[in-house]
Amino acid sequence: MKALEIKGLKFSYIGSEDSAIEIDHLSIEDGETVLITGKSGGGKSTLVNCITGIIPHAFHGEYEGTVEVYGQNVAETSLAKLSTEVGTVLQNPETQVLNYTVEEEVAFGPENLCLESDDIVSRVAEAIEITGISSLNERETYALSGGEMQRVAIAAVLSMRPKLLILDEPTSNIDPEGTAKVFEILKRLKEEKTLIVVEHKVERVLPFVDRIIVIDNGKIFLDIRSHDLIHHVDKMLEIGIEVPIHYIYARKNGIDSDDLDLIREKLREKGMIPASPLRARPARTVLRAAILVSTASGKPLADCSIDLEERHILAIMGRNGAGKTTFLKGVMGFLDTDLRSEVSIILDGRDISGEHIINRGREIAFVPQNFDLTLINKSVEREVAYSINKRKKKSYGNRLDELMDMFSLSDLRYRDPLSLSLGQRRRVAIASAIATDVRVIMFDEPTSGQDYFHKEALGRELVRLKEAGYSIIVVTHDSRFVYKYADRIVVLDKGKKVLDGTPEAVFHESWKYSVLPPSDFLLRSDEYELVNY
Amino acid sequence: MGLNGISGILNAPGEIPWEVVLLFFGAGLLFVFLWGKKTGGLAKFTTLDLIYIGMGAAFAVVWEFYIGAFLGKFIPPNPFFGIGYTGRLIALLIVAGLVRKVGVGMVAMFIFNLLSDLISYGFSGEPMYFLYEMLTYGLMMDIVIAIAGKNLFGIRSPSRKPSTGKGKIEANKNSGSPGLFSNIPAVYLAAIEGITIGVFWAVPEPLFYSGFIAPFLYGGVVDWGAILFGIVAFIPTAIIVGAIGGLITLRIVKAVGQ
Amino acid sequence: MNLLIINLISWLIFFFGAAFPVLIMLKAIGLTGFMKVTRFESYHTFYYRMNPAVKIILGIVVMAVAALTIWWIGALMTVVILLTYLTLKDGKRKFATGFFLTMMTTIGTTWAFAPYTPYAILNEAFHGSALTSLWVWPSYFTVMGYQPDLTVQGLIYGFQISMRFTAVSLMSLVLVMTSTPSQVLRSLNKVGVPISITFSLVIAMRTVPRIFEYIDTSVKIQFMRGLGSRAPRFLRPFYVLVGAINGIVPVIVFLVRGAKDTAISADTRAFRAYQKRTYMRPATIGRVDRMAFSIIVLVILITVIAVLMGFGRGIPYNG
Repeated sequence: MKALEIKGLKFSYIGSEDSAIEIDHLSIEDGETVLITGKSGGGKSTLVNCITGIIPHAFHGEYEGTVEVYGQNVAETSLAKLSTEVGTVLQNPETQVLNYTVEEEVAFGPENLCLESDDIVSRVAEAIEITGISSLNERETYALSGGEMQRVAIAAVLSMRPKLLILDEPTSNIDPEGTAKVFEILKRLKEEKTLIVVEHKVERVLPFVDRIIVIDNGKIFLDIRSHDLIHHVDKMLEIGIEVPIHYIYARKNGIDSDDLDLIREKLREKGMIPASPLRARPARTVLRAAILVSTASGKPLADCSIDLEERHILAIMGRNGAGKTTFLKGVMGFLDTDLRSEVSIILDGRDISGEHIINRGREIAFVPQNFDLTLINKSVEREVAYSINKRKKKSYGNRLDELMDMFSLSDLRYRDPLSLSLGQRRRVAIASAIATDVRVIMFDEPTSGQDYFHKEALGRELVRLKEAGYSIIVVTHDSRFVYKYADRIVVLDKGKKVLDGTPEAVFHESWKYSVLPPSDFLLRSDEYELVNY
Repeated sequence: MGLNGISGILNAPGEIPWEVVLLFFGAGLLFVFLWGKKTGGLAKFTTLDLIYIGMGAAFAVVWEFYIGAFLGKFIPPNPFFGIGYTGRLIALLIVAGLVRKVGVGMVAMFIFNLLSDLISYGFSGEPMYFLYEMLTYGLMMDIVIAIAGKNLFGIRSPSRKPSTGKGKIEANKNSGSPGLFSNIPAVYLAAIEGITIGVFWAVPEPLFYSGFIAPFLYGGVVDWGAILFGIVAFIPTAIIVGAIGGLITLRIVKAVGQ
Repeated sequence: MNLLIINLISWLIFFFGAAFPVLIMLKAIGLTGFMKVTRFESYHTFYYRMNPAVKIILGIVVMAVAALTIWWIGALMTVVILLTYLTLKDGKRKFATGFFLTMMTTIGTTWAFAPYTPYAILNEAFHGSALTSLWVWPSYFTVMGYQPDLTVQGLIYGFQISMRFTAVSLMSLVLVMTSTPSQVLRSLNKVGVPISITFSLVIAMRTVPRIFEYIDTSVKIQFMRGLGSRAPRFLRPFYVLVGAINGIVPVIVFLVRGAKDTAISADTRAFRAYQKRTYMRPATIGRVDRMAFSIIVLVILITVIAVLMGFGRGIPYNG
C-alpha cells in the first residue's frame, strides 16, 4: 500500500509569483524510511506542510494537484482526521511543546480527539514507553533539556498513533546524547511505521534510511536508494548539501565503497589521507576564568577553570547540563542572584571578577543563541553604532565604517535589522557586539539549527575575527564545525573540565562524554577505533 | 459595596443613564453576534491567530502589571497621558496587525481581561469589566479593522479562506475588498490607522469609565466638565501613541514576514 | 524654612514614593523573580492538589471580603496567604518575593492615594476629625493633582486602601504558580469558556514568564554594550527599565517567529477537531478542595459577623 502519493503538486505562497514546491509525481510505500534533504529555503518544509495538510488547511496560497496519505486526499480531509494518519515532529521543541507538564503534553492530541480518559491513559503510557521518557513524566516541560524536550515532542505525536511519521530536522537543536536517543527511537519505529526524516546533515541519518530524496528550488533534484549515495556525491555537493567527508574522498579517489575503514585503508595505501586543518600555535593567555557555581541548595553546576589563548578559537563542548552555558554566564556576570558562586576572571593579567556587566562588556562580547534579542535599533547603522554612542570615546573614530565594511553591511546601513535574513542578522549582532574595545568574543550555540551554508559562513566569520586579533570562545555541539575551525577544545562533564587540547587529541576520547568525533577526524585518525562509539 | 465589588449605583448625580449604556452594550453585543454569525465567529480565527492573540495579551499584561506599572509611578495621575493606555494600545495594535480580522479586538480584550483577573484582580468587578473593555476598546478596534478592509496598517492581506476543493484551488489571492485606502503608502496608512484607533481609545476611559462604570461600581459624583476635558486633553497623546503604535506594528509584521 | 530646601525635600519625598517600589522590584525581585512567580512548578503540597476552580473561587472570596470589611481583615488575610507561600516549592524564595511584592503594592498604593485624596474624602473616612499635616507641598504641586498638605490621615487612608489589593494579588499568583494552564483550562471549559479562548489563554500564561526571561537577556546584553555606562552608579537600576523597553520589539518579533511552529504543532494534533475536549485526568473535587470549601464558608461567615459587628468597610473608596 502507498503511504504517500503526490501527483502534479504545485503550491505558491500568497504574495509570491514563484512556486515554493512543484512535484510531478512522488510516492512512498508503506513501511519505507525516507530522508528528504536539501538547503534551507529549498522547499523541504513546504513539502512537509503539504503532506501533513497544514497546506492548504492552515497556510494558504495557490494550490494545484493532489496529495494522498494512505489513500486520503489531504486537501479534502480535515486536519483532525489527518492527524491520526500523519504525525509531525518539528525542529525546535521549544516552540512546539505547548503544555507545562510532560504528561499533559503527550495527552494533548488524544484529548483533542475527545477520546475516553482510559483510552488517553493507555495511549500516553504507550508513547512514553516507546520514547523512554517515563522518568520525565512529572517534570515541567520548560525545565527539560533540548534532547529531552524533543523526545517529549515525539511522544506527543506518537500518542495520536499516526501511520506516517514525519520528523523535520528533529536533532538540529539538541546535543549528541539527545540525538542518539532520538535515533534509538527512530530505529524502533522503523519496524512499525513509515518514516520521513527531513535533515540537512545526511551523515547523521544515513544509517537509518532506505531512500534519499533531494529537494532543490522546490523540485525533486534526486531520488535515490541510500546505498547509491556514494555515486551522487558530486551532485549533492553541487547544490551545497553536507555529505560525509569520507564519501567525498572516496569519490575523488575512485573508491567504490561507503565504508569509512575501507576508504581510510585505501587512501592510506595511495598516500592520499588529507592533512588536518591548521591550528593556531600556542599563544599567551588572554583570559583565565575560574568558575565555581552551585544552586542555593548546594547542587554543583560548574567547577572549572578555562584559559583562552590570544587569537585562538576555543570550543567548549559537552552534553546538555555539563556546565557550558553556566561557565559563559559566570564570565559575563549573568548568573542568577539566587545561585552561589565564586568567580575569578583575569583578563590580560587584570582581575575583573568584581566588575559590573557594563565594565566587563567593554572587553568581552557575548552573542547569545537567540541573537535576535540583541537587535534593539531601527537601522543596521544605529545597531552597530550603539556601543560606540553609549561609551562615547573619541578613539573610536571611523570604527563604525570599519565594522560595516568588515561585515559587509554597508549596503544594509539603513535597513531594519529585524527584517534581514538570518545570516545578515547574525553579522549585525556580531558587529554590534564587538563595536568598542572588545578583545574576547563568546558565542553560545551559534551552530544550532543552522544548515551547512550558514555554518560555513559562520566559520569563515570566526576565522576572520581571529585573524583580526580577537580571541573567541564557542559553545557548540557540532563536532564537524569544531574540527574544521577550532584551535582547541575543552570538554566539560558534570561541571568539570575533563578534556582540554587540540581537536586531534580531544576527539580520541571525547566519546566518553557524549562528544562524538566527526567523519573528518575519523578519516584521518589511525588509532581511533570505531568500536569505541 | 455590593456583590463582587459592584455597588450597583444607577442614580449617582450626573451618571450616564443606564438605559443609554444598556442600549450601547446591547447594540455592541448584537453587532458582535451578527458579525460573528456572518463570518464564522471564533472558528474563523486560525490557530496561529489564537496564538498571536495570546502572545499580545501576555505583553499587555507584562506592561500593565510590571514595566508600565512602575514607569507610571513617576508620572502623577493626569488627564493628558497614561502609561497603561500606551502599552495596552501598542500591544493590541500589534495583535490587530498580525491577525487582521474583525473580532480580534474584542477577543484580545477578553483574553487580556481574563488573564488580568487570573494573575491579579481575582475577577473583581466582573463581568462589568469584560463587557466594558470588549465593547468599548475591543469593538472600536474592530470597527477600524472592518473599515480598513484587507489593507490594515498598509499590510496587504488577501483573504485566507481555507481552500478544500478538488483540482486547482485558488487561495482568493486577489479577492476581497482591497480596502478604501489601498493607494496610500504603508507607512502613512499605518500611522493614520494607529491614530484613528488611538483617538477612539481615548474616549472610553473618561466617558464610560468615569461617566458610568466608576459610579456604578463605587458611587460618587460624575463631573461632566472633567469628562469632556479628559477626552479633549487626551487626544494629543492618543495621536502620538497611535501613530507610534501603528508604525511599530508595521515594523514587526514586516520583520516576521507576513 | 528656606524655599530651596522645601522644594528639595518635597521632590525627594515625591521620588521616594515613585522610586522606592521600583527599586524593590529591580533589586529585591528582579526580572527572574517575576518569571518565577508567574510560572508553574510541580510540587505536592495542598495548593498543588487543589482544583483550580476552587482556587479561583478562593480568590474571588478573598477579593470580596477585602472589599467589604475593615482594612485589618484584609491585612490579616494578606499575612495568612503570604505565610502559605512557605508551603510552595522553593517556598522561602517565593515567600520573600511575595513579601516584596506586597511591600511594593502597599507603598505604591499608599503613595498613589496619600497626596491626591481630597480632604473631603479624608474627612468622611475619619469621621470629620481634624487632619494632621506632615508636610506642606510647594503650591505648584497642586498642578500634579496634589492636595496642599501631606497628611497623616492621607497616608493611613492610602495604606488602608492598599489592604484591599494585597491579599487578592497574592492569592491570584498562587493560582498561576500551582496550576498548569491546562488545569485552569479544564476548569474554564467546564463553565463554558470555548476552547479557542482557553487555548489563547494557555499561550498567554506560557508567554508571560518567557517575556521576562527574554527581556532579562536583552537587558543584560544592552548593559554589556554600554547601556548606562556614563550614568552615575545609583541610577543603574533604572536603566533596567530603559533596557526592558528597548527589548520589547525584538522580544515580540522573536516570539512571533516561533508562533507558526506552535500553530503547526497544535493543528497536527487535532486541536479544535471538536467543540470540546476530553481530559486524561478530569478535574475532580478531592479532600483538599472540600477543606478549602470549608475555609471559604468559614471566611464568609466571619465576614458576615464582622460586618454585623461594625467591622465592615470603614472608609470610602474613590476609585
